[in-house]
Amino acid sequence: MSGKTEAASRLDQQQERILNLHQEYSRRYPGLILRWSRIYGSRWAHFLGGGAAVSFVPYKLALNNNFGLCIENSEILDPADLDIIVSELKGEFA
Amino acid sequence: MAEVAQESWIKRVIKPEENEKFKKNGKDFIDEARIQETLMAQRNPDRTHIREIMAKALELNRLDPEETAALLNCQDEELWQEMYKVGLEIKHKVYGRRIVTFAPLYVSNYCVNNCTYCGYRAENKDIHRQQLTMDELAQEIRALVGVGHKRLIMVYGEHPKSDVNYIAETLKVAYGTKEGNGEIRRVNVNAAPLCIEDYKLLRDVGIGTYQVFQETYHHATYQKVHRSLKANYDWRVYSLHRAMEAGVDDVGIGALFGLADWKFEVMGLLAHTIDLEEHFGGVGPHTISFPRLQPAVNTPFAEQSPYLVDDETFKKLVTVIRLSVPYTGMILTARESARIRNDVINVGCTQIDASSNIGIGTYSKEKTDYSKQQFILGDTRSLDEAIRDLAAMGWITSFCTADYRCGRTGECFMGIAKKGKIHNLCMPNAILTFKEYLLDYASPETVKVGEPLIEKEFNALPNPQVQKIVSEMLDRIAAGERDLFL
Repeated sequence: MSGKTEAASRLDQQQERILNLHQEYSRRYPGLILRWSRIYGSRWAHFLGGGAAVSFVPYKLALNNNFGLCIENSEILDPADLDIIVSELKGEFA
Repeated sequence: MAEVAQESWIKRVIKPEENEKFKKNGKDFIDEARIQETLMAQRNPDRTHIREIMAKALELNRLDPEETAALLNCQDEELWQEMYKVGLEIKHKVYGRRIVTFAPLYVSNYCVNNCTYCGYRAENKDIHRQQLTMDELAQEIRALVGVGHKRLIMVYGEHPKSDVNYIAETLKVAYGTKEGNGEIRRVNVNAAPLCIEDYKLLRDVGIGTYQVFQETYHHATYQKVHRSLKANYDWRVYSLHRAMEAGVDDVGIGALFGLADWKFEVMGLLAHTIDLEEHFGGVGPHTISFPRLQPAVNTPFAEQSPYLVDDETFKKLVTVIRLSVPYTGMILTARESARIRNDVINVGCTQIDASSNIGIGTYSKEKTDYSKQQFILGDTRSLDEAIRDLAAMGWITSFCTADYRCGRTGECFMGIAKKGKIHNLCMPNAILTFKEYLLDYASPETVKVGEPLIEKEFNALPNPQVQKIVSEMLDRIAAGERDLFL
């Protein structure tokens, strides 16, 4: 018995999946700056990526009620690639 | 019966085992002997050394305790004038010519503690006790939103009536209350130290920054002026370590100047910053506050302390904090008079409160009631007046709350701030939120001063791409859209 609730375990799994996706997208799209957040109400709390990068029009995507992504430099992506990322993430986390 | 229940609650609050992992050899991070030795060793700093330290601060490096001690001991007035300028330069470099504005909202003044300097202490029978119901809170929020506020610091006494569940409920009400075009977009909290589990509850409802001020870092003084729950120094000094551990990654530290030697307290704030940075991957406090002891109803201690800080010393201590931790937000509250604030803002403060009313339930009644106040305010200007004065001094008021709604918190925020990049975002967002304020809430006099300032700051944006984006967003705001940010 881990003592974790089902919801907490699901969050852990989603977080683990994000770690993998971060590596996968970084490999697939070199130079892409991804900043992942845990969402608490209106607060997006940083938990992975982004570094000290500052962009002016980040692409902001709420994956579900718990996780969000800002792509700091989505302009380096072909629009079709951005669509693929969005649809993959929506499919997985919605 | 109520007293028994309160005693039982008090016994359950402190969980000392949660602090153990942060201690070194069972001791806290305030090594008083070392602080005193450092201050003594640096008692006669030479001019060249002071200027080297200024140069280091200008490169946005956090100072070491020896360097801060040297600045604190500087006796050369000419060098102090240079330090004031460096403080302002650092502020411009990191945050730009803008001041973030918020309102304090006192929600409950029931308190189990007996702090000798505080008007809310349990034994002060001259204070009228009150706790806002959720309906009363919503009225207060509407009154604040109605004058243009977007950011709050909600303040609570330490009492079972205002436990973490109550605080969480009030946060939900604060975020959920709308009025016209307005809403509260960021709620910071100033309340008692909590255990990790309780911090998680507040994290989950979207708290902004959690503030806990140590009041004094000097152990013996701390024990002398605090009784009941707050007398536990360790529980308080590690409260923000526990908050960070719980995932509340924006925390605010502070000292109440006037309780102990001011140089010691500045060294304490620095030690606190360093310890947080060491435990949390370089992430220190999001803000530092430096309130001065102020008169309060039936509280003679507040006027008799031998450590009261005069105006000139106050400006110096604020300057040294600015230079010591160049990338951290600094909050100057309405405890200070408008005259002092207008002066001290110019050595590097980043946030002020305005139109403050620190009684319980007094915003919606538009009146001051000293019998409900923790202390007596020095600056009673309205938000509109404060903003107009700031604008006349060349400061643009920012209601920006973008960072914590884009994941630029904790480690990410610090990374950006330490590299001096945050102003690339802050100034555009200040312009956008200031424009909203001018359209929705400002008096004609403030609009008259504010519009040229927007134009000036817009033209000063260094990046043409940013100018283009901001220009488009300003058009959208003029057309009725709200809450646009970079």
